[in-house]
Amino acid sequence: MLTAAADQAVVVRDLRKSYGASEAVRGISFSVGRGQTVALLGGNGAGKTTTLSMLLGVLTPSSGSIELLGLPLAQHRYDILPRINFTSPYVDLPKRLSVVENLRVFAGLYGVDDARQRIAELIAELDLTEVADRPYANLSAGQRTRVSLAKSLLNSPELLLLDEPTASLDPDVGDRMRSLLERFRAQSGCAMLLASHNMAEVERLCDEVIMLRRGEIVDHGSPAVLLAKYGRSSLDDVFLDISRAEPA
Amino acid sequence: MSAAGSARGSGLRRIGAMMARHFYLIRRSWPRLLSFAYYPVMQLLVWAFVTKYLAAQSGSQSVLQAAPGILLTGVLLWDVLVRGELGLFLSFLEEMYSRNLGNLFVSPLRLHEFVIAQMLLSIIRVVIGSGMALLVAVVFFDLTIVKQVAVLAGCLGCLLVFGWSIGLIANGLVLRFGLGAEEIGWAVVFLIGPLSGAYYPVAVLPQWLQWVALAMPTAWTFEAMRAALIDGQARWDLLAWSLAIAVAYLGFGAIVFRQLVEAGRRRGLLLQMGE
Repeated sequence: MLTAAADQAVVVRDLRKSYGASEAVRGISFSVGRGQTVALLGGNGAGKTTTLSMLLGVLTPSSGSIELLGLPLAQHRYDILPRINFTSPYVDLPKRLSVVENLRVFAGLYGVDDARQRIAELIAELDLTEVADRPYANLSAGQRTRVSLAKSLLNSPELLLLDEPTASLDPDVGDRMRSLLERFRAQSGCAMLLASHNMAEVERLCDEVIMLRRGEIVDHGSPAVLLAKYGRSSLDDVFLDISRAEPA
Repeated sequence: MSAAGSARGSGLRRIGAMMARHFYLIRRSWPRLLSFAYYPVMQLLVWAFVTKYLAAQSGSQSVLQAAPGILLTGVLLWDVLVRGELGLFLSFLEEMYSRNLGNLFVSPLRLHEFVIAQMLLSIIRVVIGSGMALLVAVVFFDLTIVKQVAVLAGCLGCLLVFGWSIGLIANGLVLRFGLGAEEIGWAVVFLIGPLSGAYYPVAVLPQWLQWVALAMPTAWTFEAMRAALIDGQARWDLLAWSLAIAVAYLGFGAIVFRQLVEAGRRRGLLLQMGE
């Protein structure tokens, strides 16, 4: 699963995170190629969010190494952060600021050139025109998710980390978001690493799936390969097989 | 532009973005803007009338007769310290209540840029809040220390820097221990109150407390204030001590804040902050 670092957006080697005696992530290694979309799948406590947090630099690994866009994260955090972005329904934006104000602030933080035009593009693309001047607090959960996604695309990232990107969206809006992500990847060559519980989404978006259980990678492969390997017709069933299996 | 110049420009832009975030907030809420000045002005009015009453009751040898602005100036300068601390603390709490810290920590915003933006915001809070109270004191109560502008500015600077150091430590504690530690942030500055010498010289304190008081810049600042008001002297030596101690506290506060952020990074607290 590990390949040469030069053409990789993410290279993780023997990554571990312990809290006292409890090990949340137990020596995982994987890579994500540039332009590739990879899913981290696993039940609650499998280590998905812990892994994403370490990749974002907001959680210090106990050991192991992370390289993003060819640079070691520990030494080059501030060279890497302007080139990546992140969205999660569990991290909010300032509630009393309007959609446009929020996007202006983050455009400033990410040093986006021609921020006005970029914000206008994203607002149109994510169907936020009607709520652009509305405070974030007054938006529905689905609208908030779209604003958060707009924030994550502001800097045209080379690597996008997505934590359940379409959670709380209705099927129509969820489908449009997935189309947007596909288009963005095709246009920009952005690599994506997403944690999701939506297997249809994973099947549609991802080139590769990494299955986590109790902080370890228990299997990986393309959705088609995993379906064939487990003799199942949907990733939901593969997920259940893996997450309910007794550890070896 | 050189790489260093470009990096500096990006840093300024990020600081500007953080300030814009709070300007947008204030622009949306006039009551919030008014509250900056409301509390300092109301507090000043209470003390102004108390001073008038006490001055009328006391003899001509009273310190209130000799230096009528002494209590008012103490109130004003004490407020600068409180606003300096709250300027940092409230803007930090705002991020926590918004559950926005995660977005900030994964953005290119550096910790020192975050803190500089908070400091600039606290200066604005002080200018609006304490500035309005100062105006009321000068116009309606004939406050005299404004005639010693340089001493007043020196006192303001020392107290603001000390306020920032307390704010940084309060921010770090809330980050590390969560919003349950919020009360510490509100209370800690008032712990200093009895030892500050804002309203009386620290000489009235028990000896051992005097040593504690002198280890803080407040005692030196307020002594310089009294020297200006009572004797008409500009005691730059006292202000120099005060500034040196305040800067040392600021350095200590910055180290504590950084350590607590790193502790938060080790424990996975930075993405989970909020209500």
